[in-house]
Amino acid sequence: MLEIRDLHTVVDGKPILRGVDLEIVAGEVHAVMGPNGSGKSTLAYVLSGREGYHADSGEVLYDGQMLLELTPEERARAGLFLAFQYPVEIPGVPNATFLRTAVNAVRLARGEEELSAMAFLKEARAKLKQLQMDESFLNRQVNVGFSGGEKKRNEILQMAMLEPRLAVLDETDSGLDIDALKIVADGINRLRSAGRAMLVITHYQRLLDYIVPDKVHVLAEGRIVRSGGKELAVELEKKGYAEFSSAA
Amino acid sequence: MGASKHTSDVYVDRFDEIRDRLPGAGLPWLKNLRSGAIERFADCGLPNSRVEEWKYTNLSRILDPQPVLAGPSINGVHRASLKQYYLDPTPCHRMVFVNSYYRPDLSDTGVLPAGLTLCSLETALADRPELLEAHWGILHDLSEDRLSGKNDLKPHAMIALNTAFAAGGAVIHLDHNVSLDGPIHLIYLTTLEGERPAMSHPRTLVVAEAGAHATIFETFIGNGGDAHCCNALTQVAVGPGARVCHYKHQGEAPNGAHIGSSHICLAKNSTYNGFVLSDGALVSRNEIRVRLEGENVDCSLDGIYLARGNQHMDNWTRIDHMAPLGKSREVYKGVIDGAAHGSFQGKIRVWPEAIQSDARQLNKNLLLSDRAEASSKPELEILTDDVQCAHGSTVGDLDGETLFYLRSRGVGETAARNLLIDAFVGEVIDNLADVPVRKYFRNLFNHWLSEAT
Repeated sequence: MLEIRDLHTVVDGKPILRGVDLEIVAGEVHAVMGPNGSGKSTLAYVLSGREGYHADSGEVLYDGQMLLELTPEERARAGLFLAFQYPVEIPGVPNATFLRTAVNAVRLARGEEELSAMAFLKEARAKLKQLQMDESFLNRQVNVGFSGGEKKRNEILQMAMLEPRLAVLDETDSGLDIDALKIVADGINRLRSAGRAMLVITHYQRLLDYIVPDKVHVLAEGRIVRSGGKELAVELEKKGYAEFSSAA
Repeated sequence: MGASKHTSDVYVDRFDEIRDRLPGAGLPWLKNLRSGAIERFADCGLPNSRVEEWKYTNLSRILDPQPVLAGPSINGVHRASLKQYYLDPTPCHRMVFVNSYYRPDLSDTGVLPAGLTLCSLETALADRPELLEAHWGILHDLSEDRLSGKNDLKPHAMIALNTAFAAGGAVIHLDHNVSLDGPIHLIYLTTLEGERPAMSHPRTLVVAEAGAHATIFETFIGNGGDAHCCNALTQVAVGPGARVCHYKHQGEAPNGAHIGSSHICLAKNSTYNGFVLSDGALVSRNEIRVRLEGENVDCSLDGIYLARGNQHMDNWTRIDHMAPLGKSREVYKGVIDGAAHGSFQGKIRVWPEAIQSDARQLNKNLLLSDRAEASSKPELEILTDDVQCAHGSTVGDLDGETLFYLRSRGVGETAARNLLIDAFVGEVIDNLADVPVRKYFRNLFNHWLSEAT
């Protein structure tokens, strides 16, 4: 589903990704772990098309398409979803309006009919319940005044509504207490399916106790330096990242 | 001096030509008022940017050096072209004025309840001249009283010009405790006079006696792409315990000019809710003066200006707290695109007598292009203690990270921008109390957004 080949990225004149290779097939969950500053978030931004994060060389194939040639909205419509590490607050826009606009933009692009207000509400309520979110979330302004945990749950709510084929979860566990972590992880696990792939970016192994990955990759200084099974995460938790850092 | 003096001479000459044909020419008080006004205008000249209150608007850019005063000609305006401006749902009391002259054939005043006078200026001058004499007189010797101690007539030159030339408009009077169940909608259309762009001077008077309640909606438009200049003056007097909701849409033709002045007097315990949306005219200036003359007045004054292309929109407001316990709320929001310029000058003065006043003012501007420009000049003049006053002013653009967040959810760039612009100003519209008026402005705003380039 996703093939990253020799991806290089320079951000603000500094090389961040220095030849990333990664392949994910449908149905799998991959974790990318690494020390701070190793390029984890940059990888997420390059994949989702954020301004200022371009590939300087290399390519990314998504279902055979050249992903990097698409605009951010085209990527989203093609089934790519990024759960933000720092979800953005949008004053003045109710969550329901935001969600419905997004869902319908994606549906239209897929040649499906737009969801009516009623149908949308029905679906949103069901997903809210699964994520143990109060219905008032729909009326609140997007992420405004949300706690860290509420923001992360709101990301997973969007993911559940948009039903992406490839989800990139950027530090989704940061800022969560253990209860919130379980709820968010449950929400993510519920979305695991044979047709869907996930790329879980995290610094800590903690999240991977709940979302058990098929593969774990270590990203250090802009390269995947080691790949393995889920047991690699446990090893990293014990040893830390020191051995992957040239500075150490 | 040079150029502007010459221009004002043109107006004086025109006045001499038509003074005996103006409505109410036989009324001595009005005759005196008009000649006094044209003299004052001649003394002042057209306001220019050296006049502090007009620093953002250059009238010489818009005013025809040989202005053609509008006459009561038919001008080929039809109902079909007005329908898009009608309030829905009806009923309401609708009066249509072309080049300031009342057009009963285009109007639908409906059934007027007892205690409501709704008529044209010409009719009112014939039937109730004392009403006009009392209220027009108020503005006669008004000058800009600055804290520097210097009173200046110059900012009021266009009001004087309106007084000199006003030939039509609506006169509305509500007796004690009269309450209207539908809005009064005044549509002022300015168009050509013969082949030339016309200059019109519509004059509106609204008087709500004690305990009365009315919603007044003024729509200012042009005819197709014809250039024109509308110099409008609206006076509103809200009696004790009365309530007036006053809406205005400045939607003049793209090449038109709009100079609007509103003068609002509020008696004790009254309520005034004012709202102006500007999206029309090449150059416009909208001036609103509100005087909280009695105790315990509740006043809101909100505005939205939507400018693009080469439009210039100037908003000038002054709120005078003159008695204790008055409350005023003012929110002006501008969305400025292209090479347009939006400006806001808002003065709030709390007089020594006006203890325990509560005044808040906010001006926010959203710039959508690198060439767009916003000017904001809030002024608080507080001449007593024991008051609560606050003001704020911001200029910003659409946040790149927010746009990316929306786009990463599949929302296209234009839709994402529109969603954020709507979030910026939409709530001001959606909070309007009158449903038909809210719908009118909502449709207008959606249409404006859909025309974005």
